Amino acid sequence: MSQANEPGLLKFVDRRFLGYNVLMALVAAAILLTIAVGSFVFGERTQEQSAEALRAAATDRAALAVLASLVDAETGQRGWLLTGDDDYLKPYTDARTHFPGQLEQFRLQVERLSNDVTIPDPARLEDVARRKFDELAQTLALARTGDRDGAFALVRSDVGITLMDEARAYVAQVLALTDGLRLRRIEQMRASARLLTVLTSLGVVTILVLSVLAILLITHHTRELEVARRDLARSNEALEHRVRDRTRELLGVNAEVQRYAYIVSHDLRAPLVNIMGFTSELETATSRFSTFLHRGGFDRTDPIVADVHEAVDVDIPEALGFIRTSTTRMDALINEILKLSRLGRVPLVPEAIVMETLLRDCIATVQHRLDAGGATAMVISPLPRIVSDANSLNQIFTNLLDNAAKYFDPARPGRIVIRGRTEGANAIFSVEDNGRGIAAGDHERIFELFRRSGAQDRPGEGIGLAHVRSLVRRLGGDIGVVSDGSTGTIFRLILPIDLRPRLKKDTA
Amino acid sequence: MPQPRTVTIVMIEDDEGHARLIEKNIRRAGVTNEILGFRDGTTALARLLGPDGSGVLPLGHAWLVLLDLNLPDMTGIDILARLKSNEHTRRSPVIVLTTTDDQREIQRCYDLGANVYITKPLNYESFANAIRQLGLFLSVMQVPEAD
Repeated sequence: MSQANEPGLLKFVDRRFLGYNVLMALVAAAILLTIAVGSFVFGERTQEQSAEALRAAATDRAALAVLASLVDAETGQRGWLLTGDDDYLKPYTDARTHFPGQLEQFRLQVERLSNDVTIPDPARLEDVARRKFDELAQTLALARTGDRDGAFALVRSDVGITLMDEARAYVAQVLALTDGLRLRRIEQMRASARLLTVLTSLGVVTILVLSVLAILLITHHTRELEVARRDLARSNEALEHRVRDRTRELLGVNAEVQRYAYIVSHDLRAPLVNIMGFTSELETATSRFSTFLHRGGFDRTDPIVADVHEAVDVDIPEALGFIRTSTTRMDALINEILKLSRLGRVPLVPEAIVMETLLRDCIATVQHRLDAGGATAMVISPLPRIVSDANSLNQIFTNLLDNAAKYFDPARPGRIVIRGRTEGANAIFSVEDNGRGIAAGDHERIFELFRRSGAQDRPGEGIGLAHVRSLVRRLGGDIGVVSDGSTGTIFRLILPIDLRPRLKKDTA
Repeated sequence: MPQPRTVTIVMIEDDEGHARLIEKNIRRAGVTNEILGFRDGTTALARLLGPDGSGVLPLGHAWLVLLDLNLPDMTGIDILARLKSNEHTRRSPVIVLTTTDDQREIQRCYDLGANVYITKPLNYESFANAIRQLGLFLSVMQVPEAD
């Protein structure tokens, strides 16, 4: 019972094991993929955020540069107004030259900034700056025409200071906004990095756990396999033991049966010799009595004398005739049993056999019978080479050929074909004829002693095939028959390619 | 037979029918010697070696033993061994006449000193024929006296 269950259990274990492992591998792969994708996404985002922070800083610088230009211009104006020296006017002229570029730069930076933050329109700054430069230009123009008082009055009017304050306020507002943006972005970057770290750590931990689980599972499974393997080895061994025991038993029984057959046939023989012997004696005595009767001198009309004549000439010879035919037949049967029982006592001599040659000899033995019926026998080469007992094989095939030759169908020319092939450690030979076939019900019977199949119109005792099976089994093989019962018969023999290991086992 | 009245044929055969057929066929070959039949080994040995088994009693007799190997009380081999190991009977010819044709059995009988080993043919015609030929053989055979 347990043996029948084991393969199923193993399969179940295997499927479960496989299922768990595949599941764990899939989970691990998913985690790795998530980490990779996460790293990529967060990396991209971080890069974006740092770029944003940098752009915010650039905006700051541009705004400050604009403011610095305005301050420079004012400084130049004041210097020149105070000294009248044109050298002091240089910051003013430089600022005027650079200002449009700086403003453009600031405008560009503002445009590139994210939509998250709304920078006040740079046009406002431009407007303030334009008015400031106008005011500066106006004072300088008044001073050049000699109206220094008018120029100073304009300076003192606070118009310039108000404009500068406006510009400063604007730049301060921009700086506050970009600072906020930068801080927000940095905070976001930190959060991203934290999330990534957590994610990666979680992934690593999970993979570690899965690895440990997988190792445990594999170890467990390996142990299970080892146990199963050991069980299997043990049951195999037990099986081998059983087969060995059975084989030994069978060989014992076989030998016993053969001894039994020998003793029985031998012991039946002794009384039979007596029956035959004394029947002979009776025949001699009766013929003497008959001679005496026929010498004459008896009155044949006397009913008693006629009766005696009848008894001596008819009844007694008839009875003796029946006794003789029966004992002769019994003698023949016992002889066959004896022959079969002796089979087991002839030692087998394994040798390498060229089957083609052996079969040619067998065919030659039955050639006269084949010729008489106009039949042919052929061997299809190549045949497997085997190591076996030539004498037994010769008897086997001669018997099969003889059997085929005996039962050809007169309606068609007889044909026997012998084929052979190798299958594993066995050679398989087939003897096929197109004779009258063997009815399905007789396929087993024909191998039994004294049993025959079909019309009993040919001579025979029903010995040949019993003999063949006994020989084949002794060679470690088996024989079977296939026939439709009308158009032919195929005898199929399975023989071990090498008889020697079997012989060794038998003697062991 | 050169010593027609002195040689006694001792036939040890448990099958009465066989014994009778053997005797008839020997007689048909012209042998007229006395034939003593025994159905078992014990009585046969008592007669051949004497009741004490010494072989002294039958001194002066000339025996020719026809021996079957399958007997109810002992095997013919035992009888053969006893006869051939006794100094008074060892020269008496022993003809083993049995159904066994086992080679080892035959070798053993000759090893023990059997003079002739004959396998009883299992077919009656050959059986009768063989016994008649044995009879002819016996009629020309020299048998020494026990001493």
